[in-house]
Formats: sequence, C-alpha cells, structure tokens
Amino acid sequence: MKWSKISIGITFAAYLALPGCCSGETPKQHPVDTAIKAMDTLYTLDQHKMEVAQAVGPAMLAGHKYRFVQIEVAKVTNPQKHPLIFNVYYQPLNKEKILLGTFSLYPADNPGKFIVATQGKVTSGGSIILSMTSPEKMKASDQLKVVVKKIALREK
Amino acid sequence: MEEYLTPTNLSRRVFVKGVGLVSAALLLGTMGGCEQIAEAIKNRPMRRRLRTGSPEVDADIATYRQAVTLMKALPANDPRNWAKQAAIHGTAAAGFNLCQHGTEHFFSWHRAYLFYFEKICQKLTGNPHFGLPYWNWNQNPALNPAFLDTTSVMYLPRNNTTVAGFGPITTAELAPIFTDTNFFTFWPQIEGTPHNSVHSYIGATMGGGGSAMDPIFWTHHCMVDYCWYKWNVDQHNNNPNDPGWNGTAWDYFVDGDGNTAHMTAGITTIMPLLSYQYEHSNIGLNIKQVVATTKAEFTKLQDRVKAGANVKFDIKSRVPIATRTALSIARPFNATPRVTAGNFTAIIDNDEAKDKVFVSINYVQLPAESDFFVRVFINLPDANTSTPAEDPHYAGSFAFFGSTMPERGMAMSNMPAAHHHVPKFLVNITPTLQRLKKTQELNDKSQISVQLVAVPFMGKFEHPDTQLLLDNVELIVTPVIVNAKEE
Repeated sequence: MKWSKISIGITFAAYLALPGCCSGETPKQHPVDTAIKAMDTLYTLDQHKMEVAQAVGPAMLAGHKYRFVQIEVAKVTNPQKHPLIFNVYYQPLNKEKILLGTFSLYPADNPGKFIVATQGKVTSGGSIILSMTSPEKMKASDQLKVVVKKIALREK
Repeated sequence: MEEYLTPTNLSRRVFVKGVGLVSAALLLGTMGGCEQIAEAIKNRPMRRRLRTGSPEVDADIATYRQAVTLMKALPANDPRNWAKQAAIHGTAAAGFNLCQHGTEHFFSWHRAYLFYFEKICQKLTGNPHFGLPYWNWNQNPALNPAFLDTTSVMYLPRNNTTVAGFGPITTAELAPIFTDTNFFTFWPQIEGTPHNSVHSYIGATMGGGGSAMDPIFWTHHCMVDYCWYKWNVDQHNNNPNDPGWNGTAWDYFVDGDGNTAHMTAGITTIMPLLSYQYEHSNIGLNIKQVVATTKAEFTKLQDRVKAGANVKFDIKSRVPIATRTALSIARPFNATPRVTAGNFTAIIDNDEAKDKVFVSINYVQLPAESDFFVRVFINLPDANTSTPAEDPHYAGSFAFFGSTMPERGMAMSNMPAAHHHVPKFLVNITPTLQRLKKTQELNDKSQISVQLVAVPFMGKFEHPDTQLLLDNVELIVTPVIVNAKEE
C-alpha cells in the first residue's frame, strides 16, 4: 500500500503528540477550528492541511440522537486526479479518537455529499475530525484543494 | 436460444384473440405455464463469487473473457460494442454520462445496466446460463488472477491489484452500514464507502469516468448489486414504494440483440428474484440467506419486494390543480395551480426539510390500455413525448403495469381498504423545485405549473384516442414517514 509522505508525517506527528498512546496519559485533543460559526462555513483542505476538526458541544447533542455525520465536499481542485480518501473520526474529550467511517471521491475531482454512521458513539462533547489522505505519492508542485462545508450531524 | 424470464416479459401485455390484452404472467399461468415459470425462475443464472479453486467460477470467468473479446470485436456502431457499453456510464475524456451517482437511483440504475450487459454476454457467447461473477472485496480483496494476466483482454493497468487492509471494505466499516434499515441512508453509505473507495483505490481507468472500460468494473458493480440484494432480501429491508421512484424509467439500454430496451426502477427490484440469483457469501457479518423453497414462500417474498416500504403521509396542505378532467394521452396535460414557489420556500430552501411537496394524481379508473407511462414535469409547458427524463424540469413518472389491477406499491398510497381499486399516484417534486431554484429558473414569485405527458413504451400509442379520466390533481405538502421494516 502506498501512502503519501505528508499523510505519514501528520500521522506520525499526531502519534507523538498523543502521549496517551504510550504512557497512559490523557490523549491530546485535536485542535478545533474555533472560528466555526455560520452554517455556510467552509473548510479548505490541501497538501499542507489534510485534517480539519469541528467541535461538538454537549448542548448540541442534548435531546438528539444523531445517526449520521454528513460531509459535503463542495469543490475539488485535483487536476492530477490523485485518489482522495477521507476518514471521519470522533474524538471525545480527553479520549482517543474513534474511526466512524471512510468515504472517497469518485472520480477524484467529483464533489458530493457523504454520510457516515455515528454508530451511537457521538454522545458527549468532543470533536469530529475529517482527515484526507491518498494512497498515491503527491509532488509538492501538484495542485490539490478540497473545499468542505461545515460538518453536520443528522438524525436521519 | 432459451430466453430467460425478465420482469419486463411478465409485465408486458400480449394480445390474445377473443380475450384482448392480458399480462404475459396471467397468460402463462392460464395456459398451464406456471410450472415452466417456476422452473425457469429456479434455474435462473447464478452470479458467483470470484475466487480460485472453483470449476464453476473458472467456467464463468472463461465465458466472461470470451464475452469481452466478442464485445470488443463488434463494429464500433453496434450498441453492444464494449466501448459503447462503457460509454453509457461515462468516458475518460468527458466523465460520467448517463450513470446515476449521488442519487437515490444509484442502485437501481446500475442494476439495470448490469442486467443488460449480462444479457449481451449471454447472447454473444451463446450461453444463456451465464451469470456475471461478483468481486466480494470483503472476502476476497485481491483481484482474481484472471484480471492480472497482461496478455488477456481482462487486463488493464491499475494502481493497486488488491484492497486487502483497506478500511472501507473491511467488516469494521461495512457491518455498521448493513445495520441501517432505511433505503435513503443505506445507499449513500454503500456508494460513498466501499463503492467509491474501491474505484478510487484500484485507480487508473477504474478511478475515472471511463471506469466501465475495465473488465473488473462489472464484477465490482455486481458486488455493489449484491450488497443491495442482501440488504433488501436477506435482511428483510424495504425499498421505497414511492410511485415516482418506482416509475423512473430508462430507455437507452439495449438487450442481447442490440434492440432498445425499456426499464424502470420498480422492475429492477424484482430482477434478482426472476432473472438471476446470487451465490451466497458474507459481506462483513454472516447474514442468513433467504431461500424461497415453495411457491408460497416465493410469492410472499416477491410481494414484499414489490410493495416496498410501508409509508405514511401526514398531509399538511393541499392546493387543487384540476378536478374531474378527461385527458387524451396524445395531448399533454398542463395546469397552473394558484400557488407560487414562495409558498414552499421553507421546503425548497432547506435540503433537510422533513416536509416534501408532491403532485398527487387520482384517476377515476384505470385506462383501458396501459402501453404507456406518464412523465411529470414542472414549469415546462412545451413538455411532450420527446422531452427526456434528463430534462431539469422532470420530476418523476408512473405507469399502470401489466394486469387490469394496479401493482401493489405502485398506486395504493393512503387508500382505504374498502375502496374500489382506483389508481392514485404521488410524485415528489421537491428536488425539481430545488433544482429550478438553484438555476434561477424559479424564484419566490414564480408560479408553479404541472405537466403530465403520456409516453408510449414502444414508440407509439396503440390507441392514441385513449382517455385518462382524472378525479383530481393537486399539490400536497406532507412529511414522509417511512416504516421500513415489514410488519
């Protein structure tokens, strides 16, 4: 399996940043984008920023049974057509992140709306993490830009 | 050549002297054909799991290889030609063509596509028993060696030749998806997770719009179809019973002889019960296979699949469009109710709105002839029989299938049990309104007009003077409450 060097780098760095992995200490919370406010917020992912995290507060979850995390990929610039695979995680506060599901773009420059099941795991405050990766090696000069709308939770 | 039953065979009406037009199914039953039907269904082609060490699978691979060779050798203008078939889905240069992705017809369209492709393979190889093998990436993640031989027609360069260890096809990711009982959230997960991811990961031709040029494409989509089959049949989940979904039609596929074929989404739901079957294998967890061993069991299964989900409506508002009107099928119906798009802004502007806008069409009685279906358009006064379903004003369609009685699930929404059987259809026009608003053809002040266009199945009406007697046509606003499990 080929993995992009950047993805390996981020994963390795994240591993080092999570002392809980080795020493039993509390896992470090993935930094979230505190600028999220409006429904029309857009995130941009590229070779330098392959992950984004959106906070999920207890107040937002109270009284709801969210069954799905919805990711809407609004725009894709990927002229080299690198395969793009997205992992969706949920990280409860002070705990390890949990993989909820994975989706891919097909073709590799095709936007779309995707859902992954929460599996009943998004029940307390934390963050939803969207992580982009590719099994292909990318050159630094390759163009890549993926615009994602604010991550939504759906009851059905 | 022995002709296998197809759902369209059974619903087609045939003329019997002294009797008139009857459904083929009724005819076969009356003429003592029930046993023949039962035998044909029992022995319908088997789609087997790709693997090594099975003589049956090896034989299927050999037939498939032969079919690919023959399809590639057909003249370029033969609609069964390999490249022509692939182009229905899309091409590398232009991207997707007619395929349904990101829509609620992802499953049904691809099932129809595979069905006719399989028919072409059967015809060209002279093997009516051929069933397209499926690539169960969960159980057998590596490509079968037949696709790796660089001297073979089955070979194309690919970025990866195995998906072993790849998350989206693992049990950990697939098992939760198969716990979803709602069709409208099951299909997007299958599409986005294993379907898209395998396309993307195998890459090269498989990763782009021309993916159907790779012979592995068809076995990959056979597996996607098997996912739908397992969810619907083995797990007892139900497809939509919305007549608009069922009546969505495609008329550009060709059969084994290269003749244009007509297919609807509703008919695709019963294809794996009548026209092919799947060799059982696990997808993630072990789900028990449903096998109908008696006629009664088969009938019960077929009825459930055809009926679809138990759907309840809670009508919040109604806008009359027409009452007690007689229409000629040769002339499209056009009416403008006293309502503007602004009346539905809360629904049109919100993708997550629970309420939907439907056109509800009640007929006084079934038409005498049913050799046509009816397309519903919004704000297209010039709509006619030539206006395609791809037109952005298209909302849905419905038909009066087969026998003199309407099919269950096609027309029986909200019908009191004691009521005489009269057809009633609902077409969800919400996506069309949203689409027209996004392209700015519609704004809050725009009036909404509705067109009903009868389209003949076979190119022309047998009786163009047929009258459709409408009881009433109206717009209704209602949430759709889906109780997906059978009761």
